[in-house]
Amino acid sequence: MTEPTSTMSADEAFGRALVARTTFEKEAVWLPSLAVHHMNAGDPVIRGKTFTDCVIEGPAVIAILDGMILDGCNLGATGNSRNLLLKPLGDKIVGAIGIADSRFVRCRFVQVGFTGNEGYLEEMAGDLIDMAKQGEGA
Amino acid sequence: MSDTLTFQAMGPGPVYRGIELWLPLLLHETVLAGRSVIEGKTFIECRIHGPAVLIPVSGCAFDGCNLGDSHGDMRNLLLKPMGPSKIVGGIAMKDCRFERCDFLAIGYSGTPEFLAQMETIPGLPK
Repeated sequence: MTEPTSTMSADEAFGRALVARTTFEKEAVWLPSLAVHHMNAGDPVIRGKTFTDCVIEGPAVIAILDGMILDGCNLGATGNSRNLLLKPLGDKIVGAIGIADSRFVRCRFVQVGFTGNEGYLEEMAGDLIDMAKQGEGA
Repeated sequence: MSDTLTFQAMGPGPVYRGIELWLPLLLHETVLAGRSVIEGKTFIECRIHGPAVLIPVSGCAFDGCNLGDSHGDMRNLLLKPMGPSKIVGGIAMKDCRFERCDFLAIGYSGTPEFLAQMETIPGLPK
């Protein structure tokens, strides 16, 4: 359940309204807060969102799940773009924020790392590195 | 669902006892105080919430803690940096002590030595 109701506290209603949103444009998004509001609403994964021209702030590690797209984003300043990536050592991923079926368009990431399934993490690394270079050149 | 996690501002400590603690918020307070690393804190019987990836930089001790739901394999809590130097997105902690704390939705990253040490800890049963 994500819709606010009259019996909810103001904080809870705010959280549910945030979870129900599908578009974010030209705003700062504190990813840990967005994730906690989704968890409070019973959804451990952020899905079905479009972020356009937003600043996505951590500290956070995003677990890239099916259908998450980065389009023209600046992933943050770092000397080596592989510093943005973390490889899970087990079959599960704990501590990261799962994002699926969501699109980030021209967003800037601050203090955000990325992880994902081991199978395609190396492949993803190439794309991230290319995007990071574009961001550094912007 | 009706339960909602809410967190009060935690303040500078340095000792936190018996509270619900949201790690991203503690870092936020730390940054507002002009520091980038959570340093020199003691946490006693706290429930420490993520989602977050904790990076013990140096001098951190875990005494009698539940490090999280490992599903029987501590490697499920661990993330290995793929880059050669710094780790982006984690929460660095230095010279901190955790006594009988519970960690929820917390992963761990750090040096190869730290990760190897963590792998030797028996995971809770599946």
